[in-house]
Amino acid sequence: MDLFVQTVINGLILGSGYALVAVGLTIIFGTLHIVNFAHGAFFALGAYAVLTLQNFGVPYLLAIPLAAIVVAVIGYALELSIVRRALYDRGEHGSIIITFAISQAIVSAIILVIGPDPIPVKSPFGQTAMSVFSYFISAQRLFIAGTALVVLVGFGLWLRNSTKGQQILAVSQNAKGALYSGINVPLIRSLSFILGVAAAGLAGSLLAPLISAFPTMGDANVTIAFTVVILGGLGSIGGALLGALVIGLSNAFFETYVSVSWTPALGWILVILVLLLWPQGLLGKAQLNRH
Amino acid sequence: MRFWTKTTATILASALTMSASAFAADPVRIGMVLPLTGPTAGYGKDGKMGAELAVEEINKAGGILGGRQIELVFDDEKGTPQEGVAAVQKLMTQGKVKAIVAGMNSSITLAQAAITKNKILHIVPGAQADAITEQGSQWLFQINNNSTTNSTIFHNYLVNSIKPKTIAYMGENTEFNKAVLQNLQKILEGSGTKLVEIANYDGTTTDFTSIITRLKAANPEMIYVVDAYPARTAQIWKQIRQQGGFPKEAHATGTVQTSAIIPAEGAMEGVITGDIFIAEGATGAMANFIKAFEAKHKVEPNKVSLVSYEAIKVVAAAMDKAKTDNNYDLLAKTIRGNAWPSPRGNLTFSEIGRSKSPYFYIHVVKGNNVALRETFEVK
Repeated sequence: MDLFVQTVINGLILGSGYALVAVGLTIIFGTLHIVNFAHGAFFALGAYAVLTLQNFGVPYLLAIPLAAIVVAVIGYALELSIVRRALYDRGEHGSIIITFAISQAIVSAIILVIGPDPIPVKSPFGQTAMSVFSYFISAQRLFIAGTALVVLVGFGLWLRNSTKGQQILAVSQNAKGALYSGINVPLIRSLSFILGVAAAGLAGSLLAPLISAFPTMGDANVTIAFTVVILGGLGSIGGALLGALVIGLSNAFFETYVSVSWTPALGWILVILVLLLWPQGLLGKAQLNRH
Repeated sequence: MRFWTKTTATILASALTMSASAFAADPVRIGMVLPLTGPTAGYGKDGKMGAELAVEEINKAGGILGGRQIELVFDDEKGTPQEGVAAVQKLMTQGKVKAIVAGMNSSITLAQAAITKNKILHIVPGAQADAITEQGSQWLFQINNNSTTNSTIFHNYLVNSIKPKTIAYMGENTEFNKAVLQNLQKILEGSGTKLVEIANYDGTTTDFTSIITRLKAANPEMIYVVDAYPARTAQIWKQIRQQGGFPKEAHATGTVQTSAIIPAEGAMEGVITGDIFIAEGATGAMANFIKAFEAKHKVEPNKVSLVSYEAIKVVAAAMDKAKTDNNYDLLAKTIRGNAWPSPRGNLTFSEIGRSKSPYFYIHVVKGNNVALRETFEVK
């Protein structure tokens, strides 16, 4: 029973981390129809931004939102110079190649400027683990889970209730229709891209104390994020959260009770099964119909 | 007529002399494939520094083959077999290199060795898997000890000196891990130590909490981690520490560098490991190597720097001794038939190309580095 409860805790905490990485990916795909292969690189930029801010004496908790802003600024510069010129209304195939190139450029720049070695990122939660009724919970993981919940719920509410949020949803459904309705589509597209990469940066800054900052730190995380958004439904915030929790719990149970070696295949097996039954993903269709 | 004969002879003689001196000045190009980007890029950086020091020393001493300088041509394996193979192919076809020095990761090296087999001299600096020298390539040589040599000493040390009653094992699903696990299972046969849990994870794993929970449920006395990626090594040990750790803790030989210990932020303190190199208490040729390395690069060398340095030195010395840079049968025979001075002492190679280094050291992680615990002579 103890092992079962610990596995549930592990799965939920793991899933919330996945959700945080996946949310930016799903925003960008949902609004811009861009498959952003540079998501992992923006994730790494978030970690390095926090590290740099800490080196200037900024405390970790304050450095987290600042890091997201730094990544947003870098993202906006790339959006202005490359993304909007090369990708909007050009289909998803071009986006794969161009975002992959952006990713390689960012990773190479980090290696050239800072170097390839992993660098520890300090957090006030350190390596401490809380023992609640003899169950271990990493304090940093708990902080990530709490932040993920706040960010995802807050973002979902903002999309639903604010004018800008509604405009993002309108552009995601029909960009031309939104334009004819007087919505500033280029501005909304920029905003969506910035929000997406800032979410990646936020995830990187939160996960960095657990995995250290290194140039390719986003690669494995973004692979899981892709399974999460496909499972949950591309473009759906609720789907990203649900998909992340499903994959987090499945991975935790499979690793603990079945086989560690087969766990990486599990996410993709789930994706295939879900797509066979619900081609839009778990919440993708419902989300599209709603709007 | 006589004038023209003399003039022609003079021109011909001058041209021959000039071409001979031009030939003598042609550098010997050696291709070096390293992980310059990707998750093990730290190894690439360390290896490059070691190789550059070796080339600087050789060239300063007059070069090889009658004064020819050595020129290194680097390419990036990016930490994947596909890129590793592409880099080797590029150097062989376009790089005009006379030898390949490649191999930090065993799985990548195995893929590269299939390309270089019977085509070019291939020196493997860091990769340890036994399978690398079991492919029957007559022109391939492994500088680092193979994993069986290192693991046999280390596993015997664990069983006889640390004496855990039970061990839980976790390692990345690679060729290196497979060889280490097989060796451990063999050493544990008939000993008082039982292997109670094995967890082989994929390289894309981003969190180890559930794996450690599973291993802890088996209640082992010792955790044994086999992973060569610095960032992941740090993450695993941090997560082990968060779950309360294990009474006894060990990490695979030849894989614990400061690039893993520093980001682990103290989580690796007290972990037992081993390697063919330790800077602590170095004397003689090793002390000279460390001093020269620090003077050139302003940092302390590690094992990766050492084996890369040795790889270049062996290639260069063998070419010089065999008086050829492209008769690979003769070069291979020369490498097998001689002892090669290195900072570790004289290196010799077996018929299948495995080196025999004189010593193996048991380490324990202490602060931001490793400390010497015991020294073994390699038999």
